[in-house]
Amino acid sequence: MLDGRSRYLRSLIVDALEGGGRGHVGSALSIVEILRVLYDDVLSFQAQVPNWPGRDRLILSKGHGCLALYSLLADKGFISQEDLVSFCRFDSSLGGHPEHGRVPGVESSTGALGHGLAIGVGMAYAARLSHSRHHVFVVMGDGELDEGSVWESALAAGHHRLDNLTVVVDYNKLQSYGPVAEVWDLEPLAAKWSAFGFECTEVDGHDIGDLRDALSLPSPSQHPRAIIAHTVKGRGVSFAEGDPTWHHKSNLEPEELGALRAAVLDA
Amino acid sequence: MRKAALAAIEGLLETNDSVIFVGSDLGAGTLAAAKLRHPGRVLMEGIAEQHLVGFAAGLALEGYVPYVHTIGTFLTRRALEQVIIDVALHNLPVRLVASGGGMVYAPLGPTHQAIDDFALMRAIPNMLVAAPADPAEMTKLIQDLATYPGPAYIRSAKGGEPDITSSLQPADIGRVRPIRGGSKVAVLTTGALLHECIAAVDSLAGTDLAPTLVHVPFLAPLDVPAIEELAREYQVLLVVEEHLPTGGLTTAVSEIVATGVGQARVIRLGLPPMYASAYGSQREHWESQGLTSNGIASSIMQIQL
Repeated sequence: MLDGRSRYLRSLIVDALEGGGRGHVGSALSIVEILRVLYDDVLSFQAQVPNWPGRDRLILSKGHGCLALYSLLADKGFISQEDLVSFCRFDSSLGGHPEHGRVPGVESSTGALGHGLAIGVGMAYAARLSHSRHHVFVVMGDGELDEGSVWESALAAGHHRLDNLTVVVDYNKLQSYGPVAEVWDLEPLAAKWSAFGFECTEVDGHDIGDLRDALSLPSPSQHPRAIIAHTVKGRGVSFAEGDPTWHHKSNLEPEELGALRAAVLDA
Repeated sequence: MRKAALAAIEGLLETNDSVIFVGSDLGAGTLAAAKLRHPGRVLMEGIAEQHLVGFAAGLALEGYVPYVHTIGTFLTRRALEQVIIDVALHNLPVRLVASGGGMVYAPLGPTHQAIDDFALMRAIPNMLVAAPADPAEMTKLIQDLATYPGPAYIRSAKGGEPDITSSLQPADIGRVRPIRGGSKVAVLTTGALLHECIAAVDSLAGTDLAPTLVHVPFLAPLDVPAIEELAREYQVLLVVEEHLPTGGLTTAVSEIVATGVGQARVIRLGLPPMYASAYGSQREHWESQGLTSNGIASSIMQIQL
């Protein structure tokens, strides 16, 4: 069972899906709790001053999961409910992948996979160089870890001992085509991050307490951190859970939207 | 010219706290003194151009001005998506300082020859694309770029280029530089070939064939009014470039002439549409393609007016 807040955040995702008629449904639903805990309990930010220098930085490297990010940005007041329901419309600021400079609170434009960690490493290095105390979080998809550039950046983060950097892997085990284990098996995944110099922990990515504990831990000295969050793609919509056809949907029909809304209220 | 670029960056590290140098496994000892003098601001990173360009974008998002330096083909080909999305889409002040422009690395073969770099970089909105002709011009450009707001790609040549530009009026970003005055034909070139073009044009001095010569250090932003004026005033624009036929200076000039702004014909002298099938030296490739002073002068003399 999800609690009321998790159901509410999912209802905001359905609002955006209604407005745009499309979106990466399953990919957003698996990261709701990760982003909820980050924004509710971990990140320092000022919604009315999105570029406040002391803020923690969050990069959604799996940019296609942006509906979850938009729901948190609307919930926290970075953007409005009107913005949310304009999703993907011609004159909207909210596209199918988040854009820096168009959406307050979006630190970096993402969409092509395997870019966010390099940018996050640059931000974390910059923070250290300027003696700033903020932290950099990069939320990545599991399918995204197929990109070679991810491991270039992981090697760099480990080498530079960026202990102000945390990677959160949304390990929902389902990519666009099907099971990650069948497309390209990532296991042993924790051992990979550890081998690249990260202190790695694994959590239930839908358990608020687990996430809060893992994301609130003091930074490991001299090491970046990787948190592998075990999640369910489509979590909160019973008929979409674990179904790769719900990775992305376009031309959503009214009855599908109705079923989505009913499902998240009942989750 | 590469030495001038590195020296200019070293100078900026002294005067501008925002400047950071990011090298990719460069030659032993590169900027070693600066690395000690400016802890954390001279990085010698691994062979990972995709990461380095994204990393530089992250630095720039935090207010730094990174100068990323490695072999040109690795920046323009290997990291193209990062250049486009992380740097240009965000319109960040990342400087891509490319060594080995054109056929500098002729003996190393096609993997190292930056003969398509103008095409790749010109296709990117927001990107400044420059090819200085000599060390003085490179030095000025590197210094000017410390405060230029958008991204930039700089093609560096081999080194040892004779000084041409230090006696000229200081050039602004995006402007052409008139070198010689003539009639009927205007020769346009960029980068290290300027020296060959000067020798070619000077060999025709005093004859009816003596052309105008214009150096175009910036392929983007292009000096459109200046090229429109050339297209109106001359019968032929001869473009001399160390680049493939598609997407380089000839294409840039032709895009302007094609708007019907003048009566000038555009003739191209450059590299053929193929990967090099020989090694040798850059100069041997110039000679084989008629890009040394004799070949350029010969091409000018053959122009039918």
